[in-house]
Amino acid sequence: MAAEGKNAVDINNDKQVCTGERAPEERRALSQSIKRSYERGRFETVSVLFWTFFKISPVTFGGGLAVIPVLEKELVERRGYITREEIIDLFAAAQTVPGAIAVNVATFLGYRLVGPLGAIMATFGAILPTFSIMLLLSIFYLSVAHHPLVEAAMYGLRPAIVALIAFAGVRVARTALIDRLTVGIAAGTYVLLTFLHFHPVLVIFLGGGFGLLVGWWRRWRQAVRGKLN
Amino acid sequence: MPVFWSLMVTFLIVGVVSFGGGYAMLPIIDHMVVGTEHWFDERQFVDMIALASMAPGPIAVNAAVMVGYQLIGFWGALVAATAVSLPSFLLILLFARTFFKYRTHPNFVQAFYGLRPVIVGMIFYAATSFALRNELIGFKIDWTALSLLVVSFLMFWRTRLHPALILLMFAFIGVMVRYIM
Repeated sequence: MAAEGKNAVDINNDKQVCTGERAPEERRALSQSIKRSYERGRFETVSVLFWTFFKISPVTFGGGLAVIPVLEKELVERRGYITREEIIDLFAAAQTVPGAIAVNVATFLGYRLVGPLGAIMATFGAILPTFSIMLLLSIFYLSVAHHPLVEAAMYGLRPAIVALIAFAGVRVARTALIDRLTVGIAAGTYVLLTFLHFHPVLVIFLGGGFGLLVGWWRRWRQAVRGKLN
Repeated sequence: MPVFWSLMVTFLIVGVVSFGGGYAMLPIIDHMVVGTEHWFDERQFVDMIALASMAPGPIAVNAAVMVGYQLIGFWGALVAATAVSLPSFLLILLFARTFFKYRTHPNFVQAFYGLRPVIVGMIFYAATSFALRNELIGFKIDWTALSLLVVSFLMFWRTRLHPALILLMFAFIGVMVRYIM
């Protein structure tokens, strides 16, 4: 409660709790001031979210988990908007949604703190710098793409990119391949894509569906064993 | 279908099914941009991914901007970047509360038990298909490029250097190799 006694006001719920009598004009004025302070706080949070992600985006290469320490410093330590545990929770949730993890975190965080407007502004803040940098890079690249120096640089870059992708695969494999079956699924995916030329979208749905089937089968087997015992 | 709409539909599809983010998206973008639509050849696409990897931010958005800009210009870049980000944005807006509630639901957990290894397979598929196109593996091998691949992989794996820095280093090595040899 913001104020105790005769005319208590609950700012958190944005409601006026009148325990005594007040003139309608006075009551309206108080309600307006509460609303204004709430809106001011909301606007501040939205702008902080936008600028936080706007600052983070250009300095985090590869997005994803690189954002965590910067977010902790800005939103946990400096502002106290959210706890460390909540940030980890948000990241876990962001990985269950398709799309870029860093952008998903911005959307989740914005929604969690302010609502749809916060989600829009945080997402916009996360994408705008990346978009601008990439646009400038595209313009520059198109103008020099056939220059011998650029072609020579690309000769060195291409193998490094293949290595970077393979390294990303190794890193994901450490957490994703937890037993023989998951290794089998990964190998099966590779075979389906490389040799049988399956559409990648179809393979994704097959993987999710197979995971569900395995889960149901395991639960059914447990239930049967439970009955037998 | 005009290029503008094809571009939008392509990246909307990429946005919907791109679980795992980052490099897991590459086979899908590759399949649609190079395989289905034939907007670019293999080498052009690999070069675009190289630049998208060197720039900050999510690789999917970077790749979308690059593809969109090369096809239609500014509006293409804007449409592609919006389309790739929109599905997840709408999903979160619609189901934000539900995500936190059902994230530990057995069916959800099991679906991801099957999805995560698929992402691994897709990333390795992207790596080998890019390697094949750049003659790093296969019948006709560029041994200099293959040695650069091995060295760069060891650098990503063993050193604490930033990946963007390693990529810049190899761009410089590429210039050196081409002008010395």
